[in-house]
Amino acid sequence: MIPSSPSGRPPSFILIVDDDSDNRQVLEIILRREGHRIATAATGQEALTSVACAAEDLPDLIMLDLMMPDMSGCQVAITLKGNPATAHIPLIMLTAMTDRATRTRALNAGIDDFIAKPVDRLELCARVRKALGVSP
Amino acid sequence: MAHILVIEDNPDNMTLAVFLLESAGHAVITATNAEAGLALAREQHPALILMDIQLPGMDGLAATAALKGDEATRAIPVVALTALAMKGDEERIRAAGCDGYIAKPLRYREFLAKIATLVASL
Repeated sequence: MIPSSPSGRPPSFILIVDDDSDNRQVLEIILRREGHRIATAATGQEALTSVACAAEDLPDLIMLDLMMPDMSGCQVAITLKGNPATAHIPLIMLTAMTDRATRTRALNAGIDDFIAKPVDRLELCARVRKALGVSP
Repeated sequence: MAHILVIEDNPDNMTLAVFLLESAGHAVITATNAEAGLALAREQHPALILMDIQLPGMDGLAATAALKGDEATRAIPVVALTALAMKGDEERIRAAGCDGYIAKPLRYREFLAKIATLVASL
């Protein structure tokens, strides 16, 4: 039997990618409370490794920080969207930078949606539901 | 985009290299030992070969020497994938006929940039 979330929906698998451990923890707490299954990665390279080696258990959604030391969120997005095995996974970018040039670069890299940092819980949950195609 | 042969016996390394190359739009064929890799190179004439050095049986240096000694495969660039980092290793890799090398563990950003440069020069 598939376990269901508090909302009664089956849990989704979400990968959180952020080099800041506090940010990862905040997102993880909020999204776990929503009933999702969570994995985390602290670098772009760690995220790509976990997705590339995931075989069948791919995330349903990836939350991606923009600024990371090894690879930018845009580089990670280009790699994921360039691969037929992972191109379908929605990507939400977390960014404190909200200027038009940054947003445009991220959209061109394949980012599907944005959440401004610091994260607002209600907005986060709404955007996650939208990305997962789940009605409120 | 290029037709690339990856010869690598470690399944995790292979998975990652194939994932990154396919993400960059390349068509990838694979072999997990030197003998199978040599056969694929002769059959399919890939544009580029990524060759692990520490392979079971025939190692990557011997395989590269075999490719470079064969008229049919001599022109295919061979890039060594190597965790070898001792003094003199680069010389041994070059002496075997490798056209370049990429250090393992792979650093993805550098790996993708290097492959893009190599493919652009083909």
